[in-house]
Amino acid sequence: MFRKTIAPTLVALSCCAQASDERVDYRDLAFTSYTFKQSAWTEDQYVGDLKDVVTFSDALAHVVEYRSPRNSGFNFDIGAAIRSKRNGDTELEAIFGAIEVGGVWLRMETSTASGYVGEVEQGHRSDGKHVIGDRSFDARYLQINVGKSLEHWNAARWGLGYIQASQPAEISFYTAGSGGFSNQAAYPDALIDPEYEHRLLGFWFEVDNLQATMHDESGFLLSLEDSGRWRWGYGLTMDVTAGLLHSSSSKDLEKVVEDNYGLKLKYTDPTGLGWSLAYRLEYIVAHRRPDMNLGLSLGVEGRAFQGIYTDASEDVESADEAVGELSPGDNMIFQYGPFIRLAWEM
Amino acid sequence: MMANRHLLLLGLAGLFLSGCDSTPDTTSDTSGKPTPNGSGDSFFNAITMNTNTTTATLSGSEVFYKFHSPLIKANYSGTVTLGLTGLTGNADLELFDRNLNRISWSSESGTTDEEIRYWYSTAQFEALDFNGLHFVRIRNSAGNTLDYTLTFRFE
Repeated sequence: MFRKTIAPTLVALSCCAQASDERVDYRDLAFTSYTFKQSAWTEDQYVGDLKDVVTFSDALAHVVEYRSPRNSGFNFDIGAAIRSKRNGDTELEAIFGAIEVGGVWLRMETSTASGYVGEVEQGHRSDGKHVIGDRSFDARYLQINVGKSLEHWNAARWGLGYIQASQPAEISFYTAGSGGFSNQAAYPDALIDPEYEHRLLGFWFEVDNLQATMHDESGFLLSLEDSGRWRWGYGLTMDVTAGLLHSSSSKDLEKVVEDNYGLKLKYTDPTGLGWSLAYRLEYIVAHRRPDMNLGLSLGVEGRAFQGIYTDASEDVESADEAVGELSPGDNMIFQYGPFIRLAWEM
Repeated sequence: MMANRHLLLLGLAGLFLSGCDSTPDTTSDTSGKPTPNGSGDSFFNAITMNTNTTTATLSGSEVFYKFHSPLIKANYSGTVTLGLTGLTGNADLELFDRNLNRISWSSESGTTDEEIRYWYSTAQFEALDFNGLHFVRIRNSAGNTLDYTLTFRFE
């Protein structure tokens, strides 16, 4: 319906446009974009029980990005996300930037948000979890990339990616028997570490379909139609890193379990394969003018962070032992929400 | 070369499969379970309060207690009140549930009495099977030896 409404309008608007304008080289133009979306940090991002206990402030995010003209000697990108909470407070959610040195891009992005692991009502299905230390926490995200732009595909870059994320995680807890013993603390089903850390190192690839559309370049899963100065169609913008994943607790788990339950904990920080995907499934409309390009995209955006770990599990062989394991299924991140993005090059 | 590729694929497949099924085996034998020493130096070794009032001296950084009440049944509705009085130094008081999750705390300055009043509703205690077991941590904020009197009551 949307497409049926938009397409004739675009064709009508473009009827007076010249099909073959003399355009300036887009590499002489600076790219600026504004995105309105939900905050990247939300309890809805969890697929397991953590969704019931982790709390972030309800917030929307305003993201502004600037990319310098690519024909200059020194190329750079810079951007920031401002979080606007429901109570009216605003704060810096993320900053990101990149510089090109000798044809190689160095890119960095950091993001943070404070959160809280809420109290679990006894009798609730999440009852039986032990929160280690303070319930309040600071979730953090750091992404560093080193790579190159693709020739004739300025909107895409690839290379090496490193991601370090700190956020609540649930560590499954196994003991002999069940439930603990009379007049002693209940053995939990899981330990919650509010600031568990994941480190991902691997291949990185990103493509910005909106910018690609504004340049008449190929995108990723980009299906474009055009008429005169107008282009429109669907695409999948993405920033993906895939490689080796290592996760670790921020707490001394062995001491926690010894102090709380008198048990000897068998736990190994897990290692495996992981991937991170920030995506925008979008409908794009772009307008190319001789001296500037305009773009609009809207759709669903979000991120996924998932992994699988090598089997390093041990067994509970006696009543004074416990085994802790990070369960990938309970700790995977899959977040999504609507967004709208405006971009212009001039 | 082909054999190496197959080995790599097999390794990756094994990695995937092992990541899918890693639940450890657990023994059902509960003999040899650890026994608390009642020293109060950790939650596990928490001192059991057999009466509603305990008077003691704290020289370390923290001490742990536990108490329960037969009053608390599955449909208990009421409050548990903790008091820390007679302080000769600055101390803080924390209340934990049977899962060792902190549910309330008091952090007055100086030698001011500390008090926690925590309310339970019927719904919250629907599945209680630990007879109202609670844990207490007293933190010695001043660092010096301090005297205190700890009380609890259910109403």
